[in-house]
Amino acid sequence: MANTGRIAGKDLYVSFGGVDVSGDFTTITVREEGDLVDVTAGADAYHYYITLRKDGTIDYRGFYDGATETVWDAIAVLTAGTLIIGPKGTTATYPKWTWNRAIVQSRGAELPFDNAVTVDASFQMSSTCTEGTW
Amino acid sequence: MGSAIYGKLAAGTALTAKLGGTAIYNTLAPQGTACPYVIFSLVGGGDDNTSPRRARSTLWTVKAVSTVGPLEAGQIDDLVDDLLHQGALTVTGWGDYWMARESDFAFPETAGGVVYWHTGATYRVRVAE
Repeated sequence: MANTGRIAGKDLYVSFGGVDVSGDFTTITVREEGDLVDVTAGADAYHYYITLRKDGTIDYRGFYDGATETVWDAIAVLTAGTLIIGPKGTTATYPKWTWNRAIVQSRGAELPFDNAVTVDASFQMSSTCTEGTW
Repeated sequence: MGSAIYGKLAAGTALTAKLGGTAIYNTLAPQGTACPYVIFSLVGGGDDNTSPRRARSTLWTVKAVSTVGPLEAGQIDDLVDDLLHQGALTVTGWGDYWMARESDFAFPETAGGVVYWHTGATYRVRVAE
């Protein structure tokens, strides 16, 4: 049976601080992780962990728009704002991931002589991800 | 895109002076066209499909055709190169961000007892909406 749930990123929507930054994106990488504490005792045959807080980052990469610099300006380092991702776009009922607070931890640009200029940014999550729908 | 390349070449006064006019044609020159002239044609490429914004990377062959000899064909090719290599194109609805010469070629062709000297190159043109 065909898997009709598989998607490509071509319809992805992403905004930060109310600015749509999805027009020129090439890749968005979301990575969540958690703090683990090793509470293994001497008699344990296997490590045992307890969980603490969650953490995560979102990496953005896209083409630089030299006409408007809209994305470049929106992702200035240490800017904090709401980050929203719609993996399938913004059609009603489609998934919507919202981080009420994310901070731009780093921003960069790659300017090759013979190819398109790209920009990238790494967002540090500073709130939980609310998984809802549009 | 073809009209943009034509416009770029036709605006080159040194080139049109050498050709004796705008003897610049897309894909084929009309039968019986007197040499020298320039022919350009799309030979490959297409959409990048790397981001939501549409971008295209295409390859164009641009060559001089001369019956005088390879020297004249080469001189015309140099004038074409001056106009296109790392030049700017005006493409309606698109932004041109890269145009560069990539590979050269030169060869003779005999037809009807006449030797035609072809000298030119392929040019990469990258545009985005």
